[in-house]
Amino acid sequence: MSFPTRIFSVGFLVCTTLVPLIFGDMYPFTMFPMYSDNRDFVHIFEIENADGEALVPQDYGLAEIMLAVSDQRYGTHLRPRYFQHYDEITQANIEKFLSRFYPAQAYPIRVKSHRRGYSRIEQCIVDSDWQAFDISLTTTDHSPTTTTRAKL
Amino acid sequence: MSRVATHRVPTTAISSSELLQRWRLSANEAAFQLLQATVLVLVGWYTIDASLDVMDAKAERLSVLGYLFPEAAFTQHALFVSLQCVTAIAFALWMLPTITQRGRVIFLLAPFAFLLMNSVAVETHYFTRHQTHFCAVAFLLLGIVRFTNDRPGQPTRTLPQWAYFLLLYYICVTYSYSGVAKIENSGIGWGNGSSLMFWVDRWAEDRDSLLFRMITGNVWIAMLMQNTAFLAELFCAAALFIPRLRPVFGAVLIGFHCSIELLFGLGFYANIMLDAIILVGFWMLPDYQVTPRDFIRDLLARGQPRDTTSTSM
Repeated sequence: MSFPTRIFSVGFLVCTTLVPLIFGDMYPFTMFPMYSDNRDFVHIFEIENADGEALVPQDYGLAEIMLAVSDQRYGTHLRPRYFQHYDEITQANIEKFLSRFYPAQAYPIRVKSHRRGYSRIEQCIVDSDWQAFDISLTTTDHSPTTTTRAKL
Repeated sequence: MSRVATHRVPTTAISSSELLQRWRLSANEAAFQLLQATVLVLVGWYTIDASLDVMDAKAERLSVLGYLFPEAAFTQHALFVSLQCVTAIAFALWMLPTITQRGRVIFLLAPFAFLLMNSVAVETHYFTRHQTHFCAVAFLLLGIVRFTNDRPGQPTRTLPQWAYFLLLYYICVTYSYSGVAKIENSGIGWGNGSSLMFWVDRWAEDRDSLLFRMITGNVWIAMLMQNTAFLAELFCAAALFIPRLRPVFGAVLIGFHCSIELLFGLGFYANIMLDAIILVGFWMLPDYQVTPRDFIRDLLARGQPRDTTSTSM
């Protein structure tokens, strides 16, 4: 082994060992963090305008990005997302979120949400009942149209 | 009556038997050629397949090269296309049968251009992609080997043991870190089956396949598959020290990646092929039963480098 090769080898071993420990995922060194988060459910949103036409949930920050990667790092800034700020899906939270981050979008809208995930009781993937929230950003009625949710 | 000349005239023409002899490769040479051909095919594929994702304001640095170049460079589409072209040209030059002494720089330029191109792509992704990691590192190591060993008219014929060990180390340690990341983020109970069942339900492309029905139909099967992959990843570093474990881990990890490909179509071709060649293929060659002790011994040994075509370190 020549001297430059020795230097390269030591540098390569050090980087392969330490870079993932310090930075986690730093191309081309990595910990392969995908699927390290074993979460087994996701919230699914659908949005309609007053005419019943479907809108894109991402445009309102209401699409849950579920990558199964804990501590996901992002190369580019993403727009604000609901689950960055709130854990529970309630009318009050949705209104607060939309009025703070997406006030310029078209309103009123109807936000429908349900949870799909693994049921410990049934030992399979099940859907909860849909919840629906009418959002106009001026309403004070915070009660969801449907509140029934299956046990997941 | 004229006499017929009975003596043979020396000729430079190559007989068929000599040609066959020339092409006959030892097992070590064949393994090196297979590795090089595989990596070049992967590099060609990933160069064509590479793309930018979100071209927006920069959030975090996601690549080593992200620290070496200004942030603005990573949102330039022109830079990315230029690097694709440079990689393609360097890739073509790499395959020239003869290379001059100065021309050996192509063996450094090609992997660097490929790394930089993928770094630009990685920096614009909003989610983690890992398909090109193995390929990029293998290409880099092959480039270093060819740059340091090639002489005009004498291309490298076998993979030096130090290069094999470095690639093996990268593969094994990266897999083990993946197992550690799972424990760190979800605990020892990561492989409870329910999460695999959910991922397959959410992302599987072919919902009629047997694999899909097996996993979503029985949480115990999902748990078994998840934990097999988990244990293979976590303890893969043991294969560094115990060569006979390499094909075992290789087989399990190839099965793991093939399952991912069949279910999600994520295309970890580099992982599948390099696992097969490095963990299984090279394990069959007596010259590559190298362990960390052998590598360190050679790293610390004094003396001149040996024959460039030797497999010895």
